[in-house]
Amino acid sequence: MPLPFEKHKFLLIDDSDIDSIITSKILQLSGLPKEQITIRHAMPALDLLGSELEIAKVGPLSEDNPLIVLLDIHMPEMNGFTFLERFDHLPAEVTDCCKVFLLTSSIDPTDIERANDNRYVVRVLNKPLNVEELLLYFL
Amino acid sequence: MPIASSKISFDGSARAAALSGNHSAAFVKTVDRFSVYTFLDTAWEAVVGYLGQEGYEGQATTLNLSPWIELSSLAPQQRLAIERLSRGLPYSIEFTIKALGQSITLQESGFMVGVDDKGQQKIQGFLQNITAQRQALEEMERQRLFYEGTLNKMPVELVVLDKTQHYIFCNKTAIKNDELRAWLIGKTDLDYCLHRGKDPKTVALRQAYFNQAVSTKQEVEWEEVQKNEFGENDYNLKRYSPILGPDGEILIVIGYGFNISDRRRAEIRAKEQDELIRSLAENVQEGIYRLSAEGKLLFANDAFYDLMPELVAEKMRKGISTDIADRVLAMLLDAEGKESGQEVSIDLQGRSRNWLISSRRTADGMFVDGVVIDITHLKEVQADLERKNAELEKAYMELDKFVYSASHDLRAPLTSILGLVKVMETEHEQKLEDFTAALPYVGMIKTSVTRLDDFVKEIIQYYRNNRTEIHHKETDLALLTQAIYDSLSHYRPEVPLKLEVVSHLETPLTVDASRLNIILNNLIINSVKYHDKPGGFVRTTLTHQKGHLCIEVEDNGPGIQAEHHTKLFDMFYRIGFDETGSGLGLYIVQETIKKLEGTLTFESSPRKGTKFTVKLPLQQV
Repeated sequence: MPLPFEKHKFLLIDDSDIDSIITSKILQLSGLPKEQITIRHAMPALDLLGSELEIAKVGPLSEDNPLIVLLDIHMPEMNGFTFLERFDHLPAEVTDCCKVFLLTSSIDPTDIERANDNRYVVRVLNKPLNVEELLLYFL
Repeated sequence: MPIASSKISFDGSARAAALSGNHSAAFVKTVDRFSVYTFLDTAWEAVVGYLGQEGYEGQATTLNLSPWIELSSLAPQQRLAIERLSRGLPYSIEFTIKALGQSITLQESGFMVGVDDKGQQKIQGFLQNITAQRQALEEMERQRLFYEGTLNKMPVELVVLDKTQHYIFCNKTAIKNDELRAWLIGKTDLDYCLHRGKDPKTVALRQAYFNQAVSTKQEVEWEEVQKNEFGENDYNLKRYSPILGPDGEILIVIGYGFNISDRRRAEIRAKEQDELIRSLAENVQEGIYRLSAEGKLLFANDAFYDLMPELVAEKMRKGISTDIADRVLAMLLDAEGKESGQEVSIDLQGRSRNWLISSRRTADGMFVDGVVIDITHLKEVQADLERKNAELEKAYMELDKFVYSASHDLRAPLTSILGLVKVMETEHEQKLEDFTAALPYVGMIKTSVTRLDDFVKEIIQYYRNNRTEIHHKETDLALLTQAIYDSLSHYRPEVPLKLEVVSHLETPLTVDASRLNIILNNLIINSVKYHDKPGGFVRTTLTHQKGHLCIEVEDNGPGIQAEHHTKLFDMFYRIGFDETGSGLGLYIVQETIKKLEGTLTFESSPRKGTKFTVKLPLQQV
């Protein structure tokens, strides 16, 4: 199997420790990504994306070399949708270099419709992460 | 003395005698066997002379006196006379002669006194001028015709009876049929009744009235009701009017009959109408009223007054103005002609009431007719219903929220378990860890968890189909199908399949995307899940035909045994080889299609494959 994620960097935003571990593990097992950051809450994730210094630590980003954001929907304090609203206010240089996937166990159609209507969301994926499905968006 | 060829001359005195009124003259004449006069005495000469002839030549018979005598009337008389003469009987002939602008009617009566040896008959008799009598008779006939004609043309039934109630006369209005009318003369009502097969009850009644008229010598009037040929009641005003002689004796009785059916029926109709209106006004629970154009109360039913406080109603009935009455009337006038009525609220001595007033001005613009309904209670019920509805809506929203978050909370740990299992399997595959001993259990955990997770998803789909309104949205169905394929691309790596979309759709369609997702997802998952031929296919064909969307999901999988066909869409029905299914999938598909008013059919041959066909009506845009 080719390892297309080698060149990609991942940002996991999920409040569940177990799910974060599972997703990272699945990603690792499928071919180790270069950079993988796991953040438990949406707010620090926004801080990270909003800070040039922090972003720089992630490494050089471009549209061809994007940061893949795997975002949970149901999280305490700030949920996935609020995150996306704030995300919208980030500079275009940052948002253009991000590919956001919602990774959720929600099957609430309102959630899914709302997510699909969001311009930053590439796709809503069901937990647990199916790497092959994710792959389809990078071939 | 033969006259056949001699010239007869007349003197003036004879002419005068013939012309004078009531002249009667004896005559003698002789006729041969051909009825030719052979001798005429002076009396006859007078007649012939009167005709204004200077002389009379040739063979003369009475017949030859034409054109002065109306022969047509004479000829039969003449024949009869000749016949009677031959039998030695006296005869009589009447004839009219016309001359000098006058008509004179003569009567000749005679008998044969002898026959001579030449066979000539000698006749002796009288000639009489009966012009005056004839004229008197004709005058009488004219008068008869005048009176009869007038009586017959009268629009009133008129009969004349003798004092024993026998008919003397009956006009055409009473009996149209000429024959029957003629028959009736001299008969009684009873005769008529028997003759015509009518009810003799009426006869007895008439008899009683007749007797009363005769005995009191007074006019009697009564009303007679009879069924006509259409079975309706005919109403006749009858009257017996006795005509008295100079000594007070009864000469005749005149019977009149006036047909008053139209009037009576109109009266009956009017009475029924009145009764109907009265009954409606009494029995209808709504207040009914009529106002004058100026807003004065002209009529109101009891229900109307019942709407008012008792004292106000009492005064209103008497037309006494009160503050409340004035307000009510102003309101009624104001509501006039409002389409679908006007709702008003009014404070009646501290009691707040809601009324619905519906009224209209009459066609002539003189009145306003209307209805008042007390909807106070209705309003309360309505408000109550609205409140309950809002509560229900809120409850439903909360339930929706609860169901989705509950489902999320149920699924979250399941997906975590599945994730962990997946990590274990992958680590084992990549020889990072050895889970050989645990692997069968891990597999079982995975199956159970998948099953529980599918069940949760299906319950939500079922709930969603029932609960959510149809929501149309422009959708690219080929993309939707492809996304479903994508999510299944590595669903069963052990059975690789060709997943095909054949779309004949040119543009995105406006459909209920989430329901179509449920339908497609379930049908495609079934095809993939149970496929038994690695390298086989699952093909989704999308067509748009005649306002319908047609979806076919076809596979060359194991097919479905005929025994399952009838129960395939039953809730919780599972086919034997389906170990992980909930038995809800196809049931949900069918329910969802029902909601969209579409149809679902399938064809299947064991070992060869199955094809499901969905037809959905498209929204008219």
